[in-house]
Amino acid sequence: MADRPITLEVLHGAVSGDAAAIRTVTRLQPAGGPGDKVFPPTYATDRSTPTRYALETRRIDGEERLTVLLDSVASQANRMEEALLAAWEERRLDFPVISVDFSAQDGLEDLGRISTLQAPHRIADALLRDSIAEDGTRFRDTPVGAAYTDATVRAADAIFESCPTALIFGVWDSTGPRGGLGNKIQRALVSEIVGVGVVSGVKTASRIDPVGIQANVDVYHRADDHDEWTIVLGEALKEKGGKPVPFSRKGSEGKGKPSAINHSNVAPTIDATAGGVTFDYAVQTTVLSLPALRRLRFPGTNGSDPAARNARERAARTALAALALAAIAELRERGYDLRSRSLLIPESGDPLTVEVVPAAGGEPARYTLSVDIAAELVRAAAAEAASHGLTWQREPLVLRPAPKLAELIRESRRRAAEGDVAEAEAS
Amino acid sequence: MLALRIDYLTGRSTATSYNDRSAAEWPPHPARVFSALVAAWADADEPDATERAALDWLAAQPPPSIAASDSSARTVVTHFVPVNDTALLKSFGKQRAKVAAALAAVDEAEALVSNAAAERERQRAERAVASARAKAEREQQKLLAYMLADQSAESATPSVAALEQAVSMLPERRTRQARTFPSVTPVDPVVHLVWENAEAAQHGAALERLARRVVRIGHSSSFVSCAFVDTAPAATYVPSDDGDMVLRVPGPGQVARLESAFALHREVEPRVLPYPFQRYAPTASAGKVDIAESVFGNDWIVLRQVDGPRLSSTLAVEVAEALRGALLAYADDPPPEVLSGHKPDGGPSDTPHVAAVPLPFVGSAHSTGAILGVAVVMPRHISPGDRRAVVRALGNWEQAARESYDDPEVDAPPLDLRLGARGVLKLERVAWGTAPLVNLRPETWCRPARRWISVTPVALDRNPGNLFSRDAQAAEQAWQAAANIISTGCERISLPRPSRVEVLPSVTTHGVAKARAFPPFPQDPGKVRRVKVHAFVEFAEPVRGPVMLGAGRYYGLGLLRPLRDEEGGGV
Repeated sequence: MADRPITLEVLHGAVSGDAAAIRTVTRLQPAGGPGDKVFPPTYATDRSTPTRYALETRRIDGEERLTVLLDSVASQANRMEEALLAAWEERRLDFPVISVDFSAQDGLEDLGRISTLQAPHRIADALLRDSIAEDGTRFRDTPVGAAYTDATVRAADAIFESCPTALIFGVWDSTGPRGGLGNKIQRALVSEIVGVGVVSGVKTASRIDPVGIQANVDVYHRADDHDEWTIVLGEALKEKGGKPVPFSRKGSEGKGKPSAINHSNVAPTIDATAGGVTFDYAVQTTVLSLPALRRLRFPGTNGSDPAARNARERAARTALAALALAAIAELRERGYDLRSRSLLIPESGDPLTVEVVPAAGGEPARYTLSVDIAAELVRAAAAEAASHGLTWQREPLVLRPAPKLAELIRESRRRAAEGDVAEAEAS
Repeated sequence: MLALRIDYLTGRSTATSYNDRSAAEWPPHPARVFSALVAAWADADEPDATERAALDWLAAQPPPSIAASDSSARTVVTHFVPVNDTALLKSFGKQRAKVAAALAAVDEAEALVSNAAAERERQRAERAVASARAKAEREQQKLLAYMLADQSAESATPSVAALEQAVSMLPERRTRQARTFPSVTPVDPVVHLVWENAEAAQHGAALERLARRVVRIGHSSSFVSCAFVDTAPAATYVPSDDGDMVLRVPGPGQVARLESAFALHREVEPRVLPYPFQRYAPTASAGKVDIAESVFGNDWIVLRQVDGPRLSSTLAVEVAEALRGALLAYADDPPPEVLSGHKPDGGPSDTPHVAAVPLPFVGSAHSTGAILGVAVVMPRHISPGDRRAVVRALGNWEQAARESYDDPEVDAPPLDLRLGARGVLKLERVAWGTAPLVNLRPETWCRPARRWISVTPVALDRNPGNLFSRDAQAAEQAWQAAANIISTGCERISLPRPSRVEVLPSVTTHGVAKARAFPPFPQDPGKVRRVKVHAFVEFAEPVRGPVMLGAGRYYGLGLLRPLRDEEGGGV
C-alpha cells in the first residue's frame, strides 16, 4: 500500500483540473478497546423516543445496521478550527488569524484572546464587529474590516488575506453593515463521525454520603440570613402561621431535606435514554469539495490578463486546499477526545491517507498526509500565493473589546459573585 | 438519452422536504437538482448565454426518470446553533447616511445660489445654504459623539438586560437557536436523472460545464459531484399519473421564474421556489394498468375563493348555479352545448357537459366544511373546440373583471361571483400544480382508489321509497333501492358497477354536512324534489375520479372523495 505523500503538484492539479473532492475515511475504535462503551452527543427529543441520540438504520453490504451520530458536521468543524489554532499558536502553521485581546482588560484576563477560529461566526462574528482596533476605530471601519465587508464570493481577495479559514469553513456576514446581503461563502470542508453496529446501554447514577447523613432531617431557611440553612427550629425563618420555611435553593431538588444542601444519599437511578452505546466500529468521513474552492474568485486590482488571473486564482485555491489538509492532519494528530467517556483512536496504525476523487467516477488516487507534510504544503502554497499579490500575515489586525463591552462583562461578573442573594430573593 | 450522474461525496444527503421541515427529501427532486444547476450558472461573473440556453432547453424536456436506491433516515434531532445578531454598539450606518444626505443638501443649496437671477433670490438662496451647512455640521457632531461613546464605558448603572447581552457576546455564552438538519443515507450514494428521449446536441458542452460546477444539492454540507453521462442504470422511479410520490420538477420557462423569485428572496428570505409537480411511481408498478375512468376529466380549472363570505358546503348548488350562470353570460352566443347542457332545440344534452363543482374543506381534523373554491370540470373526452369555448368564456370573464377593476396595474383581479343576498365571492384562478390547499387539487378528488365516500349528498335520480318509514321492511326496501340507484348512477358515468354500496344519512368524514342539512334540490318550486343521501361506494378494482353521481352531479352534489386503503370508511 505504499502511497506517496501528497505534493503541491497534486494539489495544483486537483484544484484546477477535474477532481471533485479530496476525501479521507478513517475507522476508529474506543480508546478502551473495541466493544468499550462510548457516549454519543444527546439531543432534546420528545419523550416518546427511546434514546436521545441521533440514530439511523443503514443498509451496509446488504445488512441492516443501526448507526449513531458521534460527532456532527458543526462539531467536527469546531474541532478542526481548534486544531488549527493550536498549530498556529505553536507556530507550526502561519496563516492570518484576527483576535480580540482581553488580556489587557482588568478582571477579564482569563478570557485571553478570542480569535476568528473560536468565534462562532468567524470573521463575521458579532464580537469582532463590536471590537475596536488600537487607535479606537471599530473593526469594520479599519482598512482590514472594511475590505472584508465589501468582499464577495466573486472577489474574495480580502477574505483570503484576513481570514482564510472562513473560506474553508464558510461564513455569512448576515448582521454586518450590509445586512442580509452581506457576503455568504459556503463551506468547503465537511466531516462527520458515525458509529456502526450500535447497541444502546444504560448508565447509573447514585451517591453514598461519606458521613452517613440521613434523609429524614429537616432543613430550614435561617431567619437572620435567608441564604443560609439551619436545622435548629429556633433559628429558622418562620412564615405567617408560625411554620418554619423549608430550605430550597434554585437548581437543587429536595425541598427541606439534606439533599437541598448537597448532603445525604441519592438513590440509584438507571438512565436508558442516554446510557451510552457500544459499536462495531466508528468511521470518520471528511470531504474537501473542490468545486466549492473553484467557486471562489480572486480578481485582484490590476487588469484582467486571463493567464495571470488564472495563475493567481490557482495559487489562492491551492493555499486554501493546503490549509484544509492541515486542519485534517492536525485533528487526527490531536486525537478524538469527543466528550466525557468518548475517546476514540484510529483502528489501524496506518498513516493518514487521502484520496483525490475524480469528477466522473473512477478510481481515486491515494496519497499519505501528515502534520509535517501539511505544514510544508501550507508554507509553499502561501509563498506562491504571495508571489501573486495575495499575502498572509500572521496577525493582520489585533482588536480589543470596546470599553463598553469590557465594563459590562466586569459588572456582570461582579454581580454574579454577590448575586446569589438577589437570585434567591427573586425566585 | 441524456443522464446526469450525481455522486453524494459524503455518503449523506441533507435536504429538507419542501413541505415538511422535519422530514428529509429522498430521492432528490429534479427541481432541486435543476436549482443547483441554475445556481452554478448564475455564480459566474458574467452568466453565460449558451449555458442559459442549455438550461432553458433542459427545463423544457419532459420530467426525467430517476435511478436512485433506497435510503435510511437519521432521527431528526434539534441542534442549537449560535446566533450572530447580538449587538452592543450602536450602528453608525444610519447616522452616516444622515450626514451624507445633509452634505448633499448643502451642494444642492449652493447650486441654487449660482442659478439665482434676482438679488432677492440670491439672498434667500444664501440663507438656505447657511442653514443646510449648519444642519450638516450638527449631524457630523452627532456622529462624532457616537464614535466617542465607543471609547468610554457605560457610566450609568446598566440594566440586567444590557449585562446579559454583553455576556452573550462571548462564544461560550452565546444565545443559541434551534435548527434541524434532516438527512438520509442512501444505500448507494450515486443517483442518476435520466431524460430518455432527449439528445443534448449543441447544449452538451454547456451542460457539462454547469454540472462540474455544482457544489451541493441541499444543505451546504451535502457535497456532490455531478457529470452528464451517456449511460445510466435502470430507473427506479418514473413519472406516472398514478404514482403516489409527488416530486417537484422543472417546467418550461423555469429559469425566468427562478430569476423573479431570486429578486424577492435574494438567498436570504425563507422560500419555496415555484416549480410544477409531477407524480412518480416506483418502476415495478409503473406499468400501464387499465384503470376505469368516469366521463369527467382530470383537467380542471380551479377557482379559489380569495374573499367574500365563508359559505358552507350545503350551499354548493347555489354557488354552482351562479358559476354556470357567469360562464354562460360570458360565453359565445348562442352558448355552446358543453356549457349549457342543453341541445339547440332546448332539450337536455345527451353527452356529458361541464360541471361546476364547489370544493369543500373536508378530510382533516379541523375541517369546517366551508367552500374553498369552485372547479370547472370538463368532460374527459371534450373536443378541442369545446374546450376552447369554455376557456374563452372564462377568459372573457377575466377580461371584464380587468376592465372594471380600479387599479390598472393589477394583472389578474379576482372574479366576482354574485350570490344575491348572500354576498359576492371573489375567485382567483389557481395555476396548475400550485394549489396550496389539498382540497383544491384535482388529484385529491381524481386519485385512483377502490373506496369512495360522498362529501355532498347524492341526489337520487328516482324516488327509492320512504327511507324513514315506520314499517321496517318498507324502510329496508327503500334503502336497498337507493343503493341500486347509486350503483346504476356509477354505470351512467361510465364506471363499473360497484361491489358494495352503503347508503347513509351522514358520514363521519370531517367537515361533511348531513344530507338533511342541504336545501331541497332542485330549488325550482315546480320541479320534483329529489331524495338526497350520503353514500359509501366500493369497487372491485381502483377507479380514477372524479366521481360525481346522481341528479345534481353537474352542480356539485354527489361529489365523492377517494379513501386510502388504510383509512376508515365512515361506515
